[in-house]
Parts: sequence; C-alpha cells; structure tokens
Amino acid sequence: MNSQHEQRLEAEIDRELRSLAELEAPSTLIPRVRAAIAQRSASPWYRQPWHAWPAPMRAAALAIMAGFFASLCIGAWRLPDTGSYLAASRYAAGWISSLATLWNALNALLSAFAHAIQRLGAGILPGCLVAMFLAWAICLGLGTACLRFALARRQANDL
Amino acid sequence: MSDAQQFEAFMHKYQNMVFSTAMRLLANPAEAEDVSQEVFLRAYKHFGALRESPTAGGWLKTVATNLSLNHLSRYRSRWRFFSELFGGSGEDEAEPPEFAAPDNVAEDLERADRRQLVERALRQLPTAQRVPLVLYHMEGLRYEEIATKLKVSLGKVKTDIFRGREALRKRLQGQLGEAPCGCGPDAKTRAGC
Repeated sequence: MNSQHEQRLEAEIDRELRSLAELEAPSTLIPRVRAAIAQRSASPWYRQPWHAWPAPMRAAALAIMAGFFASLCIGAWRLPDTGSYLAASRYAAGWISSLATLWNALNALLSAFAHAIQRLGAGILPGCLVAMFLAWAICLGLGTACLRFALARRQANDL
Repeated sequence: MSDAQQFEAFMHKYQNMVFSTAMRLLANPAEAEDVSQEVFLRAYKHFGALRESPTAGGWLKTVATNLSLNHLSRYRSRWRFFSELFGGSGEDEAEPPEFAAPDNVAEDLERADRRQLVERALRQLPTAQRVPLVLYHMEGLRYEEIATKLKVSLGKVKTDIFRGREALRKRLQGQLGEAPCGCGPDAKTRAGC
C-alpha cells in the first residue's frame, strides 16, 4: 500500500464525510417517544423493572426475599434436629386429624428422611445446598463462556 | 415551561443528531428510529441531570453510538444466522445499484446532491467497512478505541477502514465521475489515486 496514497485518501474521505449535514429525523420519532413515556408511566409499579419501583416497595421486597432465604437456611440447618421436628409434626398432626392416615404416611417418610439425614451428619444438607449452588454456578459460567465465544466468533466474521 | 414541554424542546434540539448517528452506523431508517427512541427514553430517565448539562449532546451521541453497535452485534447477527440457516444471502452481498452515467451527473451536481450521493454511497458499504469508517471519521474515535468497541484486533480495524475508504472512493467515482477529492486524471495518476 502506498502511504502517500493512503494519507491523501484519508484526508479526502475525512473531508467528504465531515461535510455531511445531519439527517432529518422522521416526524414519527417524537410522537413515538412521547407515547412510550406515557405508556411506561401509566403502567403500575409492579409491572415496571425492579429499580423503578418506589423505594418502600423495593425495601419490602428485599426484606421478604432476605427473610425467605434466611428461613430456608435455618430450616435446612434445623432439619436434622429430629426432636424438635417430631414434636412439631405431632402437634401439626393433631390439627389435621381428618388427614391422619395420609399424614402418618407422610410423617413416617419424613421421619425416615430426617433420621437418614441425622445419621449422615449435620453438615450434609448445607453441603448439598452448597454443591447444588456450585453446580448451578458452573453451568451458568460455562454457558456464558460458550455463548460469548460463539458471539465473538460471529461478530469477528461479521466485521 | 413544564417538564414535558422542556423534554419535547430537548428532543427537537437533538433528534437530528441522534438519528444521524444511528442511521450512519445502522444504514437502516427503521432500526435507526428504534435506536433513537431508546436513546431518548434513556435521556428522559436522566433528564434532571441532562437538562442543564453542556455535555448533553455528547452524552446522547455516545449512547446512540453504543446502542447502535449493540443492535448490530445482537439483532443483526442473529438475523443473519437464521438467514444463512435458510440459505438466504447476507445483506452485504446485495448487488450495488446501477448509477447514472458519470458524464450526465457530474456537471449539474449541487452541493446538496453531492452530500446525498456520499450519504447513499456510505449506506451501501458493507457493515464491516461502514461501521469503523463512521466511527473513525465522523465520531472521531482512534483506531484503538474502535478496536476496543468492536472487540476486534487493531490490524483488522485499520484494514477495514482502508478498504472502506477505497470502496467509498470507487463508489463516489462511479457516481460523481471524479475522485472524492475532485482531482483530475493527471493529478490522480501523480497521487496514485
């Protein structure tokens, strides 16, 4: 490539392109934006993205989610403690007397499960949860990496 | 003046700039309008800060550029994937339209007509050449910045821009009957055009 030719070409193309005036936007653009803004502001808060929710709602949602997560963790941690579990299940069985048979079967199953968990050790359930979370994270990471790799190759071919 | 009226005035002021930025990158009026709409919706969210900001134009231009590039990398490559899957041809492979004979056109060209022809020639360039060319010459980005934005190598950016310039020169020669610089055949030979 001739560098003098390249420089001349660059300068001339630069001049041509910079001399271009702005294009006129279509007359439909502003009404479209106006309509989109009206539609967004008319929709109820729960249909809007989370970051657009009112601050008290965001705080409440965060508290509920945190509470749900904490109760899950505590429940998982306390499940091997069969003493309190069996007491609670007996108390609940009294309430649901009409479904006693079904409850007993379910109770036996859950008790067996609880005993099994207890024999395996207290750390097994949190360990399983951690393993599940790790497996999910690995799948997500690998999937993202594959997608990015595929898109990067496609983009490189496009450009 | 109410907020809505102020935002309307703001849109009137910048709509051509935003649309031009998107249009020159996307070369498609419908897609450019979609991107422009999204740019103004984002501007509406930050209108409190943008209203009095002297850099509002720059902010809008940057957002328009980034959204156009996102649009190109997401939607168009997805469309092309399906288009290739079903045997369709890519948009860049389209035959260039035939132009009027240079002798008939060149003599009576007004400045506005010339700009229209340059605009049309730019739109007909393949995406791979048009996008870095526009980013370099019209958005004022450096080669390195373009390479980062497009996630391609520096060498590829330089090659694509050079090819884009050559293709644009050829197309303009076809339409105007002269090199973009307006130099005659003798000058072109001397300069190596």
